[in-house]
Amino acid sequence: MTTATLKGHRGNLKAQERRTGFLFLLPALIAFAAVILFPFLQSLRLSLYKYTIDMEQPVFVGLGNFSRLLKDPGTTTVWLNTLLFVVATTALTFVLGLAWALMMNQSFKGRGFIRAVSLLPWVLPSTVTAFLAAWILNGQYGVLNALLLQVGIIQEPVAWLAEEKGAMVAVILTKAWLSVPLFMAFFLAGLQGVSQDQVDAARVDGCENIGVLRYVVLPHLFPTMVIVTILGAMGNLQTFDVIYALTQGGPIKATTMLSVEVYKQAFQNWDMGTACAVGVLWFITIAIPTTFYLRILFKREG
Amino acid sequence: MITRRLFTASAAATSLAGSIPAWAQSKALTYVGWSQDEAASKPTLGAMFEGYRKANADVKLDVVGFPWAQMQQNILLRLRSGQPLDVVQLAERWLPQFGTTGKMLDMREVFGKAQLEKLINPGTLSLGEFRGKQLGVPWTSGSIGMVANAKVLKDAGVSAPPQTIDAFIEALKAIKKSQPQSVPYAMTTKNNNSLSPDFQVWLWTFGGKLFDDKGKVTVNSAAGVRALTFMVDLVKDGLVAKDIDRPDARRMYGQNQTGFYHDAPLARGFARSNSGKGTDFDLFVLSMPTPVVRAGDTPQSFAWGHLLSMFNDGKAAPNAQTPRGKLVSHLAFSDANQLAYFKDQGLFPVTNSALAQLANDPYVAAWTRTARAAGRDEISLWPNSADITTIVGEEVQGALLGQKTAQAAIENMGKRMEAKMADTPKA
Repeated sequence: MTTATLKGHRGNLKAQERRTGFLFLLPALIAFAAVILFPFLQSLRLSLYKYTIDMEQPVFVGLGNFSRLLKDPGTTTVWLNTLLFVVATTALTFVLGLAWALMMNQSFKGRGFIRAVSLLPWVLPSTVTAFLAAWILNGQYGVLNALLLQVGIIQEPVAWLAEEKGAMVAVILTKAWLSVPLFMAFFLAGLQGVSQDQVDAARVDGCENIGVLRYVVLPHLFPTMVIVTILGAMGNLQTFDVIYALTQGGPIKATTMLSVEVYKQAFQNWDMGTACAVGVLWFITIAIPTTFYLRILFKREG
Repeated sequence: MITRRLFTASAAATSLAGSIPAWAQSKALTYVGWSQDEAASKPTLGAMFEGYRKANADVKLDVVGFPWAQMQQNILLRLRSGQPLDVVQLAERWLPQFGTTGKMLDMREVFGKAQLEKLINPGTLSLGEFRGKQLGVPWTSGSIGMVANAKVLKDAGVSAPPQTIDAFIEALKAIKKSQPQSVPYAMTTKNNNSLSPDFQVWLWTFGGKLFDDKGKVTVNSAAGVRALTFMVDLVKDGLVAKDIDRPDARRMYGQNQTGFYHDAPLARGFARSNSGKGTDFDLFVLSMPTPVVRAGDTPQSFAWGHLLSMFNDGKAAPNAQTPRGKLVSHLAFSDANQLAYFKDQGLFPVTNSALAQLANDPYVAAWTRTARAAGRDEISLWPNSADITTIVGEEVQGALLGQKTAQAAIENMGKRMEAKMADTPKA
């Protein structure tokens, strides 16, 4: 067999493998195209149209929806709300998740049980947690007010969710409560890889607990921290259920994030064109951390 | 032994037997509504539809349900896609939106004007009128009016429901004094859809309107500012709470935590269940006219009701004897069904004869009297009513939460509404 024939045969083999691989991939590609790609392209198209439910046919308006949205001060408010929510929730979840993981990494009696219980907020449906939070924080018959009144800290019920700051703090705390177990699980997994020899060596060199954390544990966890932060931020950017169940985006627009705004435009104002335009802005916002995440992922694999 | 022939013959016989009922039901009828799917009214309405099916064995009645919040959307989608809408349950405020499609039938042509007016008081019938046509037959009607809690009033030393705003404020202060942790008036202060009716009632009470007869925005007026200032002052004085929606108000009312709130006639039903005392709580539920600025002014309330409508299907126009006509008659004109709906749900009947049977119930009598002068939602006339509701709700809430003055909120409301209306044709 000549070299050329051999190469041709190998080429055929590779082509055959590629075809087989593609066939295996095909069902997933079809599902992706039907469930994600097609609706996404359809949304992109509709964002260029005026299309309210009382219209028989959408009317092309070019970038009109975007220009209107960008001129509307409400859009800036929604964007700033989203930014504040994502940064605060991710930071709070990060700190609590890391602290909890460090505690769960210590050996103590009942650790297995506490670790299992720690996952409960993650296991409970997020809307259930949000409704529980709404009940706790309700201004008239909430548990928090009842406790504070009983102890004498407040003299009159406080409408926690009726104030801008109170509502924002409530959605941040609730979302953080839900996400801490996930962050903790990531950090705990990362902590399993910390070399005990290095910890011992640091202690011999005179490091106290803080020193061990600073010079051994945290540097080791750094790649996990980056991934967890980006994934957390992406997840928080997509949050809808907790916010809607707790505050419906109110009072006024105080907790309206991009996700809630899409819903309001589509299913309250029935303005599909504007909803799709907000969706595109939302997509661009999410694309930023996603790009970082993918770059890190590909770099690692490379 | 089962042979293939026997099996095939049995299968054929079974399928034939199964097909007989559908085969015999030569007429199909589609009803679209929301109440029959709500837990509270499901048994009552289920029985009514079953009654219709039994009485009309030749009609295949298909009952299609959507949640209340998605009804408008789904009706429009069904209209667009040509799906049947033989008899449809509508909220009275949706009438302008569907009336402008030109696809709704005039019920006077179906049942006859004289017959309708014989059955139902013209004041109540007007709930289903749009541009001179009777596009819906009232199924239940009332208004969003004020209810007072007699026990709370008595405990506060208030002898009778107040009739003027000054007396109302005094009553609220007395309640606050007797129950410091209560909310004397459970005015809705969140949820734009609840805020809008409450604000409109107070706006009308102070002599203002959102729009004039020509559709010009008129909310930015002295009356508008006075109405909102009144509402803001109630919050400042602790007589109203900042986070109340209608369900909160209902709960507080049933637990004697509030003296007054605005609601539909269902208020008594909610009070029965929320108090846990059932009908024993009825003696505390007082229907009262919304207080007025000066004694002698007309008390304001917000028209509320459910309608039964028909959409044109391109076939022969229905009459009272066609399946569609019979279904509407069965639901809205039958005293037995009307009274069953009232007994189970607290929803007021519409027929004169059914109302006559409730003449001794002061709650029904008082409410029905007030409801006849109830004002129509000013916002639902517009195709972009959702946007306008949001604007009104946001500006009112902004003032109530102290983010802006009543004057600034009203000015902003007017400007935002004008901007929104600029490119919106009137429906």
